[in-house]
Amino acid sequence: MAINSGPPQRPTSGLGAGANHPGSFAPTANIRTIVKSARPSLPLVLIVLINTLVSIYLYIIGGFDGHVKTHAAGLLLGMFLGIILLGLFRQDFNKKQSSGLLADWQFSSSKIVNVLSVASWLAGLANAHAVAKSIARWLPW
Amino acid sequence: MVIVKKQLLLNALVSIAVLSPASIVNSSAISITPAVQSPPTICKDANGVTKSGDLDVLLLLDNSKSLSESDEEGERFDAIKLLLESLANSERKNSFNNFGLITFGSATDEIVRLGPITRDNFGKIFETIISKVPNSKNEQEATTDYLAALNEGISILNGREKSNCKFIIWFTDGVFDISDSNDIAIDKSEAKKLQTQVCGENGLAQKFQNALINTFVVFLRPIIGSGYKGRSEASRDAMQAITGDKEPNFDGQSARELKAPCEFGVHLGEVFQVDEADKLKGFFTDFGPIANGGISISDDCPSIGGLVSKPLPNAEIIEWIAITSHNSEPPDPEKFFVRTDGQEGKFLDYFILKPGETLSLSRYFQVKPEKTLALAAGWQLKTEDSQLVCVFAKVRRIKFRIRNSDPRIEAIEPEGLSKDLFASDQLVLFNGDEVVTITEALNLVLVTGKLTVVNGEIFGNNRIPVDIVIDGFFSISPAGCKLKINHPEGVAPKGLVQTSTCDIVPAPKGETIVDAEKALRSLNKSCPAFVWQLVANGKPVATDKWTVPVGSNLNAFFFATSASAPNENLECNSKQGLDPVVVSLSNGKSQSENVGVSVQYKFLKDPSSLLVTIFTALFAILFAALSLAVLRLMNILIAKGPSQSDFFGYEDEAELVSGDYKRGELRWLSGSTKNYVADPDKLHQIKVNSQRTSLDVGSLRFSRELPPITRPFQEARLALRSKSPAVFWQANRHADGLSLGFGKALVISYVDGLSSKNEGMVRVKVTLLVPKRGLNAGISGVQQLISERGDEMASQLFTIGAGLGTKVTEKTESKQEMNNASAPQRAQVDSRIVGTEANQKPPEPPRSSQPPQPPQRSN
Repeated sequence: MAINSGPPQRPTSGLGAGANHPGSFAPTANIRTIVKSARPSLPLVLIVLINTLVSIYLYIIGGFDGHVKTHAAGLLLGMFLGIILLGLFRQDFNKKQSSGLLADWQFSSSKIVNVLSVASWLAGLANAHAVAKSIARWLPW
Repeated sequence: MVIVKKQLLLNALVSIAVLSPASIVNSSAISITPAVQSPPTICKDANGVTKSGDLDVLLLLDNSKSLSESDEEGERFDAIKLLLESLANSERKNSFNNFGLITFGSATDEIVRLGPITRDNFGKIFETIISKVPNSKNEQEATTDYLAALNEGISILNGREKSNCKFIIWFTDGVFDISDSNDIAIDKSEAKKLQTQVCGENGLAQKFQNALINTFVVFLRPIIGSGYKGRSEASRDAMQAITGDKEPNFDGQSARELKAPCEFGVHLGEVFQVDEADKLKGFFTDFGPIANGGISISDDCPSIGGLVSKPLPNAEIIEWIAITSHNSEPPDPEKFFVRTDGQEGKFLDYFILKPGETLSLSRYFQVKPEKTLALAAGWQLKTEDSQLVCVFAKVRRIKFRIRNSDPRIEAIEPEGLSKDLFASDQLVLFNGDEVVTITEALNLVLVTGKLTVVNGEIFGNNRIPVDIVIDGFFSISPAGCKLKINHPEGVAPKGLVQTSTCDIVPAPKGETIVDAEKALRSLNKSCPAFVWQLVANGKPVATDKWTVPVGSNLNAFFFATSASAPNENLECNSKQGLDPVVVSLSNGKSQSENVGVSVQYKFLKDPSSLLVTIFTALFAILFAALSLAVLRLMNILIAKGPSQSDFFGYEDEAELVSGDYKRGELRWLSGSTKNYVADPDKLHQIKVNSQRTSLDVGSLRFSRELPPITRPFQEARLALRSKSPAVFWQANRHADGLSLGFGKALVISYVDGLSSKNEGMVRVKVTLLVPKRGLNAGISGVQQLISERGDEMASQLFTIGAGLGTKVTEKTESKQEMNNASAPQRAQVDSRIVGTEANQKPPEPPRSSQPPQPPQRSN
């Protein structure tokens, strides 16, 4: 018995296309269908990478005692946007994985994004430390 | 022509050598190349005396839209960065380098307030410029109104101390244009307005002349239409009238006359036209060495086709050599050579890199001590390489003491200066402009000197200004010494806060008093966070007046706080308005000098580590909670089940019986266990709610299950809302239903749970979801899926049903196996996953003995 390598994708034309009512009937042949695999979202991985780099960059240019606004931006990007981007990536990744169509890269995209997100979060934490320092500086204690 | 003009410009700037202590006594700008007009008068007061204060550099930067065409790549910002780097790295011990920036377009904007520029803060200053003056057409202004900027510039510089050297660098690529119109009538009226404002009575040109502001126009040649001709000519007149430059470099022409009412005043600056934006970097790079007191030593700057310097004086009087590059690469000293006594040697055999002076495009070098004598007057520097470079040399500060007895002239600085350089009549003493003898000079208070050196033309007619100290008199060292603090924003230094030090050299022969009473009073009033005191020769002076010990050559004094800085945010800016320290000698030869005081600091509190840790932790918790909340929201909004328009449902009933080899089999209602023909009438529409969070197919109901809020990255899934045992293809990771991303699905489940068990036979429902469109859609998809997966799944349900009571183990193994499996394998593993109740008993389906019945098909 021939077994499909996974759920077939629906063609926009050809056999079965446009069958939108229960009565339509297609032959019950065992057809080995060619299924296009789904790759991890490269744009999302790149955005995560850029976000991480920008978070680190903001920490560096903000300086040890530097610009509060710069560090605050680094904090938002690193600790908040980084997590949101990770969430978006995982949504996309999980959906592709659960469909059985995912063909991951040689280096696991999931691991790459996880590492980048951790780095981004740590950069955000460093920025948070700088912001905290600036705030604490103006308190009387 | 451009090069000649550049040379003129550099020579004009030479007199910023006020920064060079040696030139404070009397520096004059000398043009190396023949020029019709004399070099501009730089950094001198109304009496022609060189100013000894800070260096104030105010950059007026054009921010009109035309810049996006004339300098599309934003080269001007790279050039400005080089200027800042140069100014920051030419920090001086006793005075400040100050920098400010004003942009102009339709209006003016003070981007950087004129203030000290240091190695610590120049990066921040540049960031401020980049962030506030983006190279974007959207941020730039339509018109070019530089009148307001010039007025603001002169207002700022007039507020500075009179002793400061005041520079304006006026960068523009356009003509005066306040209407953004090329109408001829408007052109004329605006040209007239400009002429009146600049050249009219008490106009801007007059104000610049009165304030002795040295203005350098960097004019990035604009492309203008005929509708701007009048304003273009008026703009050029304005630039010349303000700078007093009779020989601007407009379009390669040399001399240019002014149109009335404009007229030339004192030559205070230069107009420098740049044809290409990328050449700006060179101009701004050169400004650093020039501001440090460097003087170009070659005819060409930058050199073209190799550089050969003019014959240079004895290396003993040269403090450093600076090489600037007009390429994008820093200068390569390996390509330079020294020619002396007809022989050539490598530059680096004679010179070493000056520590801390390695900038982007410039390098500073000092003569190796052991090679000083080898470079006698007449030596030259050369490079045959075609790199575009400028080379500058700075003359060393030289100080002599004169006395009535032998040796009548003694070199104090630098120590060990060859006597050949001053032993005969090379040193000439002056009382003002009058030449005096040593004997006459000994009876005077202020004597200046000029030393004639061979090949010293480049430093000023062979005569180099030197300091003269009269034996018995004191000298404040370095010349023009100020007690100052220039602490940029940051944590306060550990220990006491103290100003720079001034020395009294040589030891006076009479009673010399350092009176700091008034100075301390004004300082304590201006900067009340501390109690300031006078420290002399390392010890605090209680009375605010210190008597300098006679005969000691190690006399130094400064101001210091009585205690270290408290851990608070403290700021003081008393640069102006502080009374000076008065140093006076009274031994029959009265001498009195003032030492200025300038204190600027902004100390930041070093906050409690505990407090910072708490705040950081709070931030971390807050953002973690916020992130989890947002991720939950994302899951709610984004994780959706299948669409009703994409799938058909299908459901049929069968009996799960024990087949061959005790494998479970489906016995269809037709009686067949082998063949099944899908019934199109059983294909039906699925029901999905509007949020796509629940799915009804046949008698089964699935609902969306989101991952736990603490594990937001797990996948959402469709879970079966039934307690009956069931197997799924493809099952989700929790084995309780389907994943959200399924393409088609098959579910075999008990009918009504255990109640359906009857004499070893279990009634099951076979439920499918198949796509409405595409290959194997609709009823063909049902047929195919049952054919391919039906037996296998029935067997699994049968096997697992028989082993009820071990459900947990079964599920765990299945999960692990699935996690370890590759994607294609997972489909097979999934089909073995079952969701059952732990207390269910295994079904006991009887083996069917009936022959298979032909399939029934209803129409």
